[in-house]
Amino acid sequence: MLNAITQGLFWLRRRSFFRVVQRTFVILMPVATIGIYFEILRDCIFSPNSLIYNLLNFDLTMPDQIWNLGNALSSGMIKVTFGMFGLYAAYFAALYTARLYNKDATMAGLTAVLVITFCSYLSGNGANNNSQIVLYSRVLSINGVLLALTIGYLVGQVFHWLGKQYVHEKQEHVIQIQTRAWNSLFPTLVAIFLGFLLGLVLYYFKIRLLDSEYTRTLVTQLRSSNNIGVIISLTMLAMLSWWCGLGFPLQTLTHTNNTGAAIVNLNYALTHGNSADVPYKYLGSSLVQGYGLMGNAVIFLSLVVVLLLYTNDKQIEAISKVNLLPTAFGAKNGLAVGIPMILNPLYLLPILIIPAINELIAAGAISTQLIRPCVYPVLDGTPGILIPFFGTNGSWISFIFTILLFILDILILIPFIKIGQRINKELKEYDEAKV
Amino acid sequence: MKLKFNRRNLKWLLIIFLVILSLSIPAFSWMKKTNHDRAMRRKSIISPLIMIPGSSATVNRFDPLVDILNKNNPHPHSLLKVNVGTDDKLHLSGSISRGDTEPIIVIGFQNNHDGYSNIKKQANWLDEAFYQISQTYKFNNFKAFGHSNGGLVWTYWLEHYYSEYKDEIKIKKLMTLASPFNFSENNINRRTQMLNEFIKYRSRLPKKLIVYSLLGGENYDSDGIVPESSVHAAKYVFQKQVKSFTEMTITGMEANHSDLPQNKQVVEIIKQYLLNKNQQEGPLKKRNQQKKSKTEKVKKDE
Repeated sequence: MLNAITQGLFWLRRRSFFRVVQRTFVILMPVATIGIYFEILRDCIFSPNSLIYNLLNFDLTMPDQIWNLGNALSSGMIKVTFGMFGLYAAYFAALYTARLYNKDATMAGLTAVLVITFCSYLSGNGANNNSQIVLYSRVLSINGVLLALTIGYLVGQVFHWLGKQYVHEKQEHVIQIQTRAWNSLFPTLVAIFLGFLLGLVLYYFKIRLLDSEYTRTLVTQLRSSNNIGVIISLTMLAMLSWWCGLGFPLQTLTHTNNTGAAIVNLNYALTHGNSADVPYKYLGSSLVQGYGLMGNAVIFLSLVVVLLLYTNDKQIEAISKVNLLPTAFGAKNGLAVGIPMILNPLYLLPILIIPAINELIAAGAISTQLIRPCVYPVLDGTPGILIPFFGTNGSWISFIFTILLFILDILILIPFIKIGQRINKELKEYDEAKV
Repeated sequence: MKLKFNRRNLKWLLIIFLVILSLSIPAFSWMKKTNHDRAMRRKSIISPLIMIPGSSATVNRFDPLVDILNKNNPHPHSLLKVNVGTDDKLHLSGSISRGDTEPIIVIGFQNNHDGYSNIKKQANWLDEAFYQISQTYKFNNFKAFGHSNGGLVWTYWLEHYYSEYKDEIKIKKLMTLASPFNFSENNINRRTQMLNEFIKYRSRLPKKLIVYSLLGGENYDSDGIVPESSVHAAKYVFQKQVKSFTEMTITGMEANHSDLPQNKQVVEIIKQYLLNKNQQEGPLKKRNQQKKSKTEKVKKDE
């Protein structure tokens, strides 16, 4: 059984698209790591809604200059790392695709950047188009990285079919560069033409591709549902879409909730002193946030723990160590890019099933009155495994339950690490045999 | 291939555990206190009537009005007066009796002069007083009353400050009495800067607010001081923006601008429209009923 899974994943992992995607993410690890630290800086300190801000009463204690500086610095760095992640991803995806077929890789990368900025320009709001929108577009955000990777991969394929063979040289003379540039002109034109078609589709059909009404409907349904079946299937859908590189549903999901039902729950808990018998016990917004994802601790922090304890690979351990603090506070993108997890066949199954299992167990425990639903507001930047504790106004049983659930998640992940190590070994042998 | 347990990395997990632990202890007590405050506010059955006098008047301006209100009343309203100094300090007199669910709070300002720039300042002082009072008495809803410029201060506060409170404290009704929304201008085509700005930000007014605008008719076009058309200008701010906007004209004896607050008809209207009919547990009961019907509705929908 384990062998069959390993073989299947190994086959999938050898497809050119997945190889390119893995390489692209791995090289972008520094960008994501820098971004993630500024993200926790903003979410945990420079945000009026955050735990540390409220504990230390920064309203009064922090001078305005430091607040403005810190806020501008962290928001700006998040913008240029994760907000424009698509640019870098498209560049490297095209570069590695072209390199796979021995074509002019850097020119392919440049073309991919051209195409994606063009798409981002067209997807902006028609008449109000200005140069700023291009950089602020959601097309470039890390939450829509699937589009960037696809564009990069397709541009690389255009170079594969239409470009001339090319071997990179250390020392290039002007004449060589001239030939090289001339050779890449035709594939560049074709790629831009294809990008133009894609851009027109985005423009004419006004597809806010990554931010469509559809996404919002999905999330709204999930958050206001009280039906465990609906919640679990929609959580799995949101996780699947995140794994595919479309993170907007998950991002919206993990924001603080104030749906009508959540307020009814809170009012009930406030007037009755506890949250045991609230009207909406299995409310999506609190079940997902509290027990399903635990503010991203469920998959990301537990994966860091498993990787630290069970891999003996220097690089992976280093990345895990760097991401330990961010994942503890719910910032996931550093790990998702560094390992990588997005579009990595190995992690698809755990990403899909772990939150679902957690929600199922938690719903069972709530129905038997063992634990309480999370209804009290929890501040941003609260460590994930403390969210159920704070969300129940300090119920110790819920806290112990959370810890047990977290340990269960770690146990589920261990076999996948085993498979991962086997695949990496086989992949290395496969590559060496090919050379 | 066997997995090897990596003991060296345990120390990193220990460090992160200590970080979370050290954060969770202060966070725990903070959470307990915040949730306690929230519960106090939710359970609170106090629904004060907060009054602001007009320009040049002090916090004692409404004493006669409160006297008439409390005459022969089995549940007299207690009266708290708050005078806000130009240094933001509050000077309190009077008190809220225990068990009084509908106290009257009068907020006055040391600088009680006329003019738009003063009204903006007074709205800021009102906010200072409102914040402290709401922290102390933890009510979750209130009614507002403003005589003359007091109504303008309320309007400015609603447009610029209320959003900070609206999740926790609801304003139910606002009654303005002879409030000159266009100052002393009697031609509505000549709008003052204040009226223009009130109209500009009107979308920030709460949608569920009930507004009454009272005006006095000493003669056919003014109450002796404020022109009727200036009071009527309130409709450009409130009409079709809040839940309902009702205008009433008071004539007869004591319909003069400064007599209005102790006018018998005005007191009757305050009793009838502004104050709660059923004093005991009115709001709490209603909310429980609403909750029940909502739950049933959702169940039916499913």
